[in-house]
Formats: sequence, structure tokens, C-alpha cells
Amino acid sequence: MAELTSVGKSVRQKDGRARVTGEAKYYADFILPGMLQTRILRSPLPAADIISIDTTEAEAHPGVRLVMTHENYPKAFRKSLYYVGDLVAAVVADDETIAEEAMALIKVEYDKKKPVMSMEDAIKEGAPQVFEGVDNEQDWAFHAIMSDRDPETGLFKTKTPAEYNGFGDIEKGFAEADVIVEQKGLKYAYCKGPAMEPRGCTADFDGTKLHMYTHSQGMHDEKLCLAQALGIPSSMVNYVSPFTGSSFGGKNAFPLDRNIASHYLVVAGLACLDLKKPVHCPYSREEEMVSGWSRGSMANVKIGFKKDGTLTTMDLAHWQETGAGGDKYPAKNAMLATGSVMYSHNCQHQRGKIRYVNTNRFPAAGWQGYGAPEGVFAVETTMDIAAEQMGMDPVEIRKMNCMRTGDIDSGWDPLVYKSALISSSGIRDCLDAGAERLDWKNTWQHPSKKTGRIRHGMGVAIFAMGAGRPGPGNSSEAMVKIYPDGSAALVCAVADIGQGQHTVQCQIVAEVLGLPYKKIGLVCHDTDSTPFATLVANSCGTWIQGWATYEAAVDAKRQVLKLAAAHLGVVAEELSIGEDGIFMTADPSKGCTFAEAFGVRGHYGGIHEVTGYYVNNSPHPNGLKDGKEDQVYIPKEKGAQFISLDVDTETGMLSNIRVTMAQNVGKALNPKIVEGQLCTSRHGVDNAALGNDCIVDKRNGWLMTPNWVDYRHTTSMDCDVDPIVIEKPGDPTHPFGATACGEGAACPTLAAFSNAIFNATGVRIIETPFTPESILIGLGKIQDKRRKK
Amino acid sequence: MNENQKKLIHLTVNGEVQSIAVEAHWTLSKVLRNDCGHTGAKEACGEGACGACTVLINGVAVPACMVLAVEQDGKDIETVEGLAKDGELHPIQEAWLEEYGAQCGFCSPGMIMTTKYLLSKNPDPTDDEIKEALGGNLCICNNYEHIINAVRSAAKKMREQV
Repeated sequence: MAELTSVGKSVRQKDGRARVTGEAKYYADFILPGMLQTRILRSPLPAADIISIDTTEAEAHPGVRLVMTHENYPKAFRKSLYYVGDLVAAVVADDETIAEEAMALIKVEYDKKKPVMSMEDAIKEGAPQVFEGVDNEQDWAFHAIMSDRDPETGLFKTKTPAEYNGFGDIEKGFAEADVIVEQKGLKYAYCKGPAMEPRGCTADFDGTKLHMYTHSQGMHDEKLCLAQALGIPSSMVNYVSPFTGSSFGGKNAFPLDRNIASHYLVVAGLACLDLKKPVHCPYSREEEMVSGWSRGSMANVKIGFKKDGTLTTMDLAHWQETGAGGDKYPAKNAMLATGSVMYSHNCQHQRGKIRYVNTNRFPAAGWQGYGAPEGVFAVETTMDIAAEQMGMDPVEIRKMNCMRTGDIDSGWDPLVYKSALISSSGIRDCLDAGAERLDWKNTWQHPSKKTGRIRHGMGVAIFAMGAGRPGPGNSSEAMVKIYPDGSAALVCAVADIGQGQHTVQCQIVAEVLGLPYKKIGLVCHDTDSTPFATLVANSCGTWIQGWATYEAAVDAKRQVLKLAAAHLGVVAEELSIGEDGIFMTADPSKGCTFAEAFGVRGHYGGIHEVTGYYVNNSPHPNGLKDGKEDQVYIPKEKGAQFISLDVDTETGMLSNIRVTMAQNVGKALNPKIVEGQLCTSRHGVDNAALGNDCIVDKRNGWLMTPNWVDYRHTTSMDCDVDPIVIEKPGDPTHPFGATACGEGAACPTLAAFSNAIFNATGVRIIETPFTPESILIGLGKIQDKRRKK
Repeated sequence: MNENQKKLIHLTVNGEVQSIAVEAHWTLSKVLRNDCGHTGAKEACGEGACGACTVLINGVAVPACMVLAVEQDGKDIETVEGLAKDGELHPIQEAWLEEYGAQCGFCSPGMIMTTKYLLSKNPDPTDDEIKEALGGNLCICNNYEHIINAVRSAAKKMREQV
């Protein structure tokens, strides 16, 4: 490949100027004339039915335009309430003060029901049901056994629905194992999915069309779903989302599911359609804090090894909290951490049982990693215990067993394929790079050798995360336009939620066309102006949108070269594109301008733009080994993370927290963006060290930390992250060899943290968050005062 | 709300005097966003915990969600929209673009205004001083490494300009 000019460079963020000048319009910045304000009355009870609701006084309050309840808007409100903060009613008024005053005038009579406020309580025999007639604990619906392995490729050819996921013979595996390590009762606390910009939207009806201004992870997906929820044709909705103030998976809207926290869309949409006035429905931080929780899980792990440390067998039992309904998808991603993916190199026997559990806490949403961080926490702490028991170096046991390029992924998504070939790994390189950065070989010490009040510890964990899923429904499209003035535009709907897609996709266009990056514009404003793109989830944008963008640019370039060839009287293959126009590759002094190639133009005719177009019906042909449809390559996020910290053995306090995050990204399309993605490891530090947990008052179900003062996120002062970007070339699944980068950073932190605390103190903590109290209990300095369950 | 219950205040916003009738409980961030058209000040928490709405009031960085507009009568307010002059970005904004200081960008206006305040008091801050100054500004994208680089780079640019 010729030397790259745009890809691989840390060019400026494509829409960065607007972000730093304050001109960028996030949804709440669209302040429309005559816009009405909405306030939502929320449930004070964790489980209740509404017996009666009287809105007479609220409706009579001057300035009130509409009061919405389950009686007049059953599409938006329910009679039954499932958590404190669930939607009871909404007031739409001339301003927010009036709406708040009127909200206080709504009289509601509730029939209190018995709630379940924890996973442990929810799965107890005879526990009250969160949703009537539905068991609180449910198996994942797609468990399947893989069998009939192809001797050449190792791929499984047969998938049989079963009670659990896996392959091989689990009983035989453990019977033949030399060493078995088992951990029960691992717990990752239920944590709030983060977002800088709280949820909300503004709906505006223009006489023919409903324009929905909101944040988005996938405008087209969300639009279709909204239209269905509102009961209007999709063609009547224009979803407008030029900027999104971070999301991390949680703000992905799915208004058809009543348990997912995207109710603002239906509330504002219905009100706007009926009132024919713009309706603004913003969530306050307090409302945001009861929307979109994640991570909460319990797990049991059992791993079998040969004497030399070879991992042969793994059993994972995993329960994922979904709160009052919420997103059921994340739980199965725990399989990514098992012998099905992350340890597939040597694992012969795998079982994984995934369940999700409803409670009367706040509804769940996906969050960076979607279940993988929970699985990694369980498996990677157990691997550390195994290393300790077998007297192995924690880095070496992982290098010996982790997945490698060409190994099999059979745990990712049996919804769409049986098993796939891992297109690139590099975990071993990441382990080496991180260990070298920390001088692990010379500085790592066994906990028994540590003395003194302040003890230093280092821990490691590896991770594997998704990268979209190849198969139906995961398509993305792109148009690339080239204009006679020599500029070009990428027209696509890929969401930039902070991960940099708008920038890297434009870099791909610049690279293919041979134009400078500055000449590439972006059209990514709303659904009316863009073709379909799948939502950015599972870190798939670089890959699934990437191919669409690349191929559309190739198509546009081909058309322009054809025009120029006709103008110059040569063949297109002899031509190249540059900033000043089209030129003969062999003799750059000969050529023509874009305007000359496009020919004569008037406002009545002539060629005004050339449009290249491509639909990437994933997998792209390059994502198949030797073009064979049954041999799908799956790119992964993968790498290793190290945590180093100091523990004060008198107070249990942690200090000098440093995260060393190494990830193989194949090719860093924009190195600074990639480093920024690796720095999102801090979310793990939030969950590990800042006490983050879903603390509710058990008497009434109220969240005790409904703000950013009591529920903390790391600041510039809390820790340092040292990103190590590894680029191992050759991943065939991307035109420039890039693999995914985004969610990986969220996966390993809690395990590496627990391992570092163990390394410092010899105390093994298997429940998050890692509080000073839990460390002191482990050290035997204070008593565990919690009631035994 | 009866218009008579509003009070007319005069704010100098980015050098221009604006006369606005405000209700007693309106915050400065609400007035800047809804009445002055300066939506650069983002509101993310409404309780002074994140710094996204930071503006300078008489030269001092303040979260605009934590002060009442009616109390700012006669004061000089500077928002992120006031930084670029004649299409030329301010050195802090340039540094933000060079160092990739914005990921989703929602915290950027507040971070940038806090940085302006820091550099007005301390043109050559140490890393610890930068971290402490930004300690009240959350970046949920966790882009602090780049943000700190941007502040360092902005300080250098501004020292060279003087």
C-alpha cells in the first residue's frame, strides 16, 4: 500500500471547531419559538398500581396545555409502576415553572405492592414478582451447544438449543483436570451508566413531519422504533441528531420497549402531534440517575487446568440484574470472557449459563462492554487465584491460554452465527508491552513479601470484547459526493458519541480519494438527509460503517476518474486524484481540474456532483476466509490492562492509582482518538474505587445517590491512565487493518483492580466496589457488620 | 408568571449589554441559554457538580447553574462564544483541537472557560495545578490526559503571544 496521508494521522476532530466554540448544537440547544416545556411526575413507590389519578386541578392551572396519564395516553404511561422514578404522568405547559406547579396538583392514589430490592431477594423462592406472571429470574433465551467441529478450521458446524451455552464435555473436562479453581459469589455492583448530557428531546411538527431533536446512537434504528411506538409511518419522522453528549451504550433509545429509559421520546412525540407545538422534554440529572443502570451481576466460576497451567475446562454461571425490565441483551456478553472466546486457545470443554434477574430497582441499559466487563471480572479474578495456587506468574498464565489469531469465537452471538474465526488477537503483545512499561519482571513481588503500612500492588487482566456482529441487520450505508470545486462530502448516519467516528470516517474518504482531509465535509445531521447506518454498539463503527465509507469513496473516485479520462482522452487506470485535480500518475504535470473533468455546467444542467454509494451488508466479502460464507472472520477488541496502586493497611484507603491500558487496534486510524478511547478505562476506576453501587433505601426504594455529588465519577485528580496502542497489521476485516476500539477499555479494570489489591495485601475481594471497609475487613482489622444473608 | 413580577437586569455578555426581564428564581445558565442565545454553556447536572456550564463572571470561573441571574445585574459575563475573535480561534480553543481535548464535547465549553480562568491567574501552571484547577469539571468521556495536554499547550501558546 502506498504511504498513507490521512489514515493513521492525528488529524483534528472533523466537527471539533463547533464543539470548542459552543456552536455545536446538542438536542437541548435547539430552542424553538413557542416551545412548550414538559415535567414528568414520577413514582414515589418501587412497586405499585395506580388506583386513581385526578388531574382536574393541574389541567385548570393557567398555562397548562396538556396533562398526560395512562388514561389518556396509554402508549406513554402505565397503570402499574415498577421502580421509584417510574413515569406516572406528565405536564406540558408554557414554561417549566408552570409545569412544576401543575405537577404538584396531580392527585394520585396508589395501591402499594411488595417490592424486591436486590438480586438475591429476587431469586429467592416465593419472592414477589416484579412483573406479574413473569419469573424474576429468567434464562437467556438463546443458549445453545456447539458441536461437530471441523477438523481443519476448528469451527463448529452444529448448534443445538440447550439449557446452557458451550461445547465439549464439562464433566469429563473437570474429571481429567489436574488443578481445579473455583470461585463462588463474585459480585459486580449495579452501577449507573454514565452520560454527560442527560436524556431528553424536543419534538417539532411542521405540518407534514415530526422532527425529533435528540441524542442518538443510531438515528435510523431509533427513528423506526419511535414511529412504531407513536403509531405513525416512519416516513413521517425525521430524527435530528447532529451531536450527542456521550452515551456509552446507555442512551441508545428503544421506545417500543416500555422498560427501557427512552420514554421522553414518546411523551414529547405524542404531545407535539396533538398540540401541534414544539415540545421539549428534558431529563434533569436526578431523572437521569434513575434511567439506565448496568453491570450488576453475580457469578460462579470454575476452571480446570493441566499441571503445566494449560486451561482445558471452564464453567461460568452468571446472573445479570436488569432492574425493572430494561435491556436483556448485555448478559450473554459475559460469555466473551470464557473459553468460548477469550480463553478459546486451549479450552476444550465449556459451559456457560446466563440468566437475567428483574428487581424493582432502576431499569438496565447497555454500557460500554455490555456484559463483558462483568464476565471479565469473574473470570480474571479466578485466573489470578489459579496463578497463585499453581505458583505461576499472572502474566504467564494468561499468555499461555489467551485467544490467538485464528482461534475460534463460539460465544459471541449464536443469534447470527455458530462460530467464527478470530481475525486478530495480539493479547500476548499487549501483556508484554504493559509488563515492560511497569517493569513487571523486576518489580512484581508476591504479597507475602510486602511489609509496612503502605503496600504497593500490581494486578493484570486481559479482555475480549465484541466488534459488531456480522450478519443480517448489521448493515451500514454511505454516500460519498465529489464536487466540481474539488471538495467532497461523506453522507452517512454513523453516530459520533465522542468515540470519533465522524473524524475517522472522513479520514477514510480522504485517503481513498487522494484528497487532503480538510477537503472532506460531513453530512450527518438527521435521518432525512442520510442513508441507513446501524447503531454504534459493540464498537462496530470502524468496521461496519468503515467498509461502507471506503467502498462508497472507491465508487465516487472511479466515476470521477472516468469523467477525467474522457476529458483527457486517456484510460482511467492511468489517472490519480490530488488536491488540484486529476492527473496522470506517470506524469503529474498532465491532467485537469475537477471542474474541467465534470464538463460544462449551468444552473439548468451539467454535472454538479458525482455520488458514490455502497451498502455494507455485513460481513463484507473481505470478512470471509477465502471468500467462504461459512468461514466468517470476527474482529475483536482485545488487550491487557494493568493496575498499580498503594493500599494503606491502617485505613484501607487506595492511592497512586495508575492504569496501564494496552490494546491491539490493528491500525490506529487516528492515534489520538484511540488513546482517548483507552483512557475511558477510568469508568472502571469509578466503579472500583469511588464506592459506586446502587444504594437504595430498602424501606422505600429511593435511590440514595441521585446526583453527581453523592454518586461520583473520577476527575482529573483521581488517577492517571497510560494508554499503550499496539498496532499489529494484517487484520483482513477492515480496509486499513483496523480492528475495533471503544468498549474494550471498560472490560478489565475491576478484575485488574481486585488482583492489584490482592497483590498489595493478600486480601482477595470478589465484590465491587472496593471500599476501605472491605479492605480492612479482609485484613482482619475490623469486623464485617453486614447481616449474613 | 405575571410580567410585573419580573425584574429587568442588564448583563454585559461577551462585551455586549443585554437587558433581560428575569424571574427571581432563574439561574444564570437558564438565562444565558434561553434569553441570550448562548447555548455554549451546557447544563449537565444543575447542581454545580460538573462544571459544564462554567462561565466567567467579572473574570472569575463560576458554574452558571449555581447563581441566580437576578444577582448578576451589572456584571460582566464571558461565555465560550466570546473567545473566538473575527473568526480566529482563541489559543485555548486551538490547543483543544490540536490535542483532541473534546471527545463528545459536552464538557468542553466549561473546561475551556475554567482553563481561561486558570491561565489568567497562573500563566505557567504545573501539572498538579492544572489537575486541581480542573477538579470541578467532569469529563465523562474520561479524556483528562488530552485535556491536560491541551491546557499545557494553551498556556505555552498564550505565554508566547504576550
